[in-house]
Parts: sequence; C-alpha cells; structure tokens
Amino acid sequence: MRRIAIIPALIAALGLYVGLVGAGSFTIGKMKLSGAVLEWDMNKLTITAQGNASFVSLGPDKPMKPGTMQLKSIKAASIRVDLVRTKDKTFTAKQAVATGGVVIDAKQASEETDQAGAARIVVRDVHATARTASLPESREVVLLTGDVLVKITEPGVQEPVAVLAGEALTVSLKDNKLRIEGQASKPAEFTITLKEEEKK
Amino acid sequence: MAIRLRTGDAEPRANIRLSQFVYNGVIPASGSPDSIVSRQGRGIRLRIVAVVLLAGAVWLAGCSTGGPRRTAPPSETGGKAAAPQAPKKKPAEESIIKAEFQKAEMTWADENGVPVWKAQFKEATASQTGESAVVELRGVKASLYRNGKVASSLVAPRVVADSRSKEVRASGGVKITSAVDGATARCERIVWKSQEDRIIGVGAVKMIRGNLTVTARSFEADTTLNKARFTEAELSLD
Repeated sequence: MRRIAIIPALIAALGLYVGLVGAGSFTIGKMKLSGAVLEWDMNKLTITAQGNASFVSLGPDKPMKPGTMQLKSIKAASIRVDLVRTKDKTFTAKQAVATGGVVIDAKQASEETDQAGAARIVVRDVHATARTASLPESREVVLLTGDVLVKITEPGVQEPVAVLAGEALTVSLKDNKLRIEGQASKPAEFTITLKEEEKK
Repeated sequence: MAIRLRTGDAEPRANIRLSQFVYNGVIPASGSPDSIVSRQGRGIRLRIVAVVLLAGAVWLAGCSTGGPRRTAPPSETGGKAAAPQAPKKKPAEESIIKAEFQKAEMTWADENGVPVWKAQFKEATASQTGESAVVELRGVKASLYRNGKVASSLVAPRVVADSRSKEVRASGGVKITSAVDGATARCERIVWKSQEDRIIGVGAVKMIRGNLTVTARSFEADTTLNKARFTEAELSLD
C-alpha cells in the first residue's frame, strides 16, 4: 500500500540523509568514463564524454559501512569531469557534471533493528533520474535538478520502499541537510511504501 | 634539388635538398655518396639508405673520397642496419639519386626556414615534381615541431611526407610522445597535418597521460596531445 505522508517521508528522507552524511566514500576517486565521443583538454584539465556517456565509479569493492553511500554509475547525454593535477603528475577528479537524461545508481547502507531487536545492515539501491546532476568540487553537496525522481529499493523487493520527486534535490553533507524542492504547480513529494509488519 | 658535399671536415657530410626536405648524413670514411642522377619527365626520384653504423665497411668498394661518382645501385645487403629494397632495374630514362650515409637524418623547414620536422631513418625513397616532393621513410624516429619548437616525437616503421600538402602519414604501428609532459599515443596509423597543428590517429588507439588511459577507435589531437577528441572511447582514471 502506498501513502503520501509527512512522517514516513521524513523517515525516508532521514534514511537517505544518514546515508549521505556518513558519505566519506562519496568521492569520485577511480573511475571509468566512456562515450561515443570523448574529449580531453589538458589546458583546462577537463574531460567530456558525449553520446551515451557513462561514468562508472571504481571504488573499492568491499562491504559497505552503515551510514555510507557509494555512487556506482551515472549515465547521461553528456558528462564532464574536471581534474586536478597532483604533485606526482597524476590526476584526480575533483568534480563532475552530468546533463541530459541523467540516471544515477548508487547504494546506501544503513543499520536497522529487526523485530527481534537484532541489528542488521540493509543495503538499498538508490536509482535517481534528473535532467542534470553535479558533484561539485567540495564533495559536500550533491545536486540533482530537473524532474528529479529518486527510488530507493531493497534487494529482492520490486516495489520501492521510498520515492522522492521534485524539481531539485540538494544533499548537503556539510550542513547535514537534505532539501528537496518543488514548484508552485508541482510540489515535491515523498512516497513511502510501508512493509507488512509496519502496517500492523 | 641540390646536392652539396662537404668532405674536408673530420666527418665529411653530404647534404641533399629536395623541395623543403633536406637530407643530411655523414659520409663514411671509406667512401663518398654514391649517386646517379637522371631525369624522368619533370620528376626526380631519390633513394637514400642510411647505414647507421659501420657504414664505411659496407660502403661500395672503390668509392673515392673526393665526391660523388656514378655507379650501379648497391646490393640489398648493403648494410646491417639498412633494409634496402631489392634494386629494380630502372628504364634508361628514369631518374634516381642514390646515396648512403651514416647517421642519416632529414629536416623539413617551411618557407621561412622554421623547422617543421626532423627525422632519423633507416631508408628513404623520394620523388620530386616541380617544387613539391614526396618522401617515404622507413624505420623512422622523428621530432614534430610547432612554431619552431619540438612538440612531440614520433616512432613508426613507415612514414610518407608530402611537402605540398604539408602532411605526414605514418603507419605500421605508430607511437607519439608529447614533449610537454610525456603523454603517449599509440595507434595503427596517423596523419599529421603540420599546418593545422593536428594529428589524426586511427585504429586501436591507446593514449596514456599519467594515470589517465584512453582507449578508442580514433582520435584527433594537437601536436602536443594536450587537446584530444576520441571516438568510441573509454577513459580510466586509476
């Protein structure tokens, strides 16, 4: 059963918020970037992929800690990554901007207590779509804009446990805030699906 | 075309100018450049085999030290470092210049004398028509210039340079190394448009700059590889 309600929405928001707050792993790091056309400009230190652009994060493949979120991939019409040159003449990605039909997949781990009182780590899939997405240099804010739709699902469950919709989603890691914005004609929404045990 | 011999130095040298291409090589101590010059129509063809070391030992027997003389083309086993093609019998009217050098290199400067490229090679064949010349080099190691400064280096088994189009075509597995930061690009073949400061590479492209690696089907880049555009590409940042 689906409901639109404030309290479940806050719970859902809190769940995402906690995941992002502990997001020390929410960095660009190692990556693969591909596209029909790829351009690099080492004067400006930018790399741009266009045409079925894909950004895949190559973070360490190890169990996630509760309260963390790992970016898995971004797909878009265009993805630009800005680089910085390190002292040892290697490069690191400092920020990324994706535009046009953005699809982001990430994983979020949180610790929950089951009915028996035992703690368990739940890893949820986060699937977001928007017109643009940016991972600014500070890495403390993630911005999604334009018809933002976020679906959070649990493994083996087809129905999303939470859905966020709005015009812009801002995740501020620095201020510990998550802000979703709508428009006057199209307010933001949180939709949460209660589990059977939660309905009782 | 102009041929200039300088034999009074400790290392006697020969210099051949063909349009904007200038060949320069050390004349082996035991001999002198061996040349046959004739004309075929308006064109002139030139063939140079560079014998990098021990050239004196393989220099045609009987060469005098005083200057060029006419002789038959050398055999295919003319030198260890050389890979000359089997000499073909030319029609009487065909024009050939043939010379052997130690440490042979070719320079190419534009109309203002600004260097465009400089190449060392194992073997070269060239033809000139009017003011333009086309050279084919084998076993090439070259420097590519931009605004008179070395922008990158090129290594390729086969290179064709055209003074009219200002283009250099390299094939057989090409490696380009940027003089700016050592970035490398490998691919099957390239065209370097010197006047446009543009390199176009095709086939199994792999470009590496620091911890960035790009694999692609083709690329276009400036001569320093600083700006590049790849097709069907994947970049990895390690």
